Amino acid sequence: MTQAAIVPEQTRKLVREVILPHARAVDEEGRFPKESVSALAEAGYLRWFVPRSLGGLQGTVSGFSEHCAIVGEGCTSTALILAMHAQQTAVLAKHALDTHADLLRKVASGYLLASVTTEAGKGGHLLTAHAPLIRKGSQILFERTAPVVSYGGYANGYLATMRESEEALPESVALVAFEQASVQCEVRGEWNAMGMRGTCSVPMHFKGVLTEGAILPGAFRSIALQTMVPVGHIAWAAAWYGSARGALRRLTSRRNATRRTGDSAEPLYAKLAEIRLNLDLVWAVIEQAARTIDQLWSSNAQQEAYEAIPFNVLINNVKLAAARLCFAAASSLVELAGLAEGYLPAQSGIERVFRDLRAASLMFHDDRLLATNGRLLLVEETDFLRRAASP
Amino acid sequence: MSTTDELLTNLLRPFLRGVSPEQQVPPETPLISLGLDSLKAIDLLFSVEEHFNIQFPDHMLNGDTFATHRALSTAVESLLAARAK
Repeated sequence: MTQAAIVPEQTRKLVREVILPHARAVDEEGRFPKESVSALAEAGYLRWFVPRSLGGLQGTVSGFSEHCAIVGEGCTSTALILAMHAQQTAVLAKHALDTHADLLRKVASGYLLASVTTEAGKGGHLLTAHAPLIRKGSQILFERTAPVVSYGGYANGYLATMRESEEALPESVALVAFEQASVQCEVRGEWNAMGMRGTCSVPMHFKGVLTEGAILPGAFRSIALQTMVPVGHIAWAAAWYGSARGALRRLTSRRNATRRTGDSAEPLYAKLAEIRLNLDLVWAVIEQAARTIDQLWSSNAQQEAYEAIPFNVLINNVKLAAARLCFAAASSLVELAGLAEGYLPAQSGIERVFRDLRAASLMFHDDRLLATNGRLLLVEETDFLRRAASP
Repeated sequence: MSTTDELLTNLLRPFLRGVSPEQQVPPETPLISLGLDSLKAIDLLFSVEEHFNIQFPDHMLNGDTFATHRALSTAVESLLAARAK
């Protein structure tokens, strides 16, 4: 039996009828977009990456990007929540079918998964962790504080990076996945940010006991390079792209919002064209990266392929391109639309999109990715990274 | 221990964990087990090349050369000797 695929027109309808209408309130109140996320859950979007055998859609990254972008046109926060959830789901689907089939089934029936990778004093470095798993007999004691957990107060399950043991180096990372109900989960603060206000990215504290089965098998580096990072960057980029695209669409569809005749017309046309040019460039990189990862997955590529420098540079470039060019587009839209339409709260929601997209460069800081890419470029013509990673 | 060894130890230390200023880097201990990951290995490469004014040829840029202090030291000394000719 094949699951019915979700077609883009369904997503656009959902955006028109639910997601966009709630975006302003979600932003003004800084609240979780429960209506939009529920609507997405009911329509099956949360099970996009769950295998068909466990009740999911077993979809591609390319397909997901398209839907995530459309959702972004309605509400950036909702799209980012969908993106981050999809990222966690993809990790379980690709790396934890044996250990976490149950959790995947629950995702297929509407569970929302969140990510716990931030840690104090770590500087956003994904491949290290400090808080250790502490083994006591067959039990694994688990305690973790995280400064930023997007929609952490609304998730049904979490994937968290931990140091493998008290003796292990910070570079020895284990990934655990567990349900909200199985450990103590405490929200320890608020989220009252400039933008992405619906993501409710709060500090949290977790404490409890896990079993061996909570730990995802395999090296975390493989999970990160094969799935967590690529899906993350591509999905976030699609959300940001959609957000900017939606704002542009709403502005151009109301032609009376801009002065189109007289001396200011030619510069207006040029500015609009540049905004669209930037967005087209972003989408081109997203599509290329999505195609690449889908191809690697379907050909069962080995870890070596994911260590390749051109691949890593591309995956970082997706995030970099989207973060800077989508925000630049939003900034131009504010200028173009002027005070009434661009700077004040208006139907087109341009100022909200501007505030949302200002966060993009900070979500895993662009500077870190640029620094990584620069290093990689200096050894790209050698085979150093691949060979250094596999002694 | 040669001068190269000493210089290399000083270059290595910032990239490793648990090797204090008074300690030597154990010559045969895998550097990976001392905290060296692939991105740090790139920085280490740049540091070694700049400090000794050498460039590793591509065929020497692999996990073997950077596996241990001894392996790296041997590689550096061979490049210094080749340059001296």
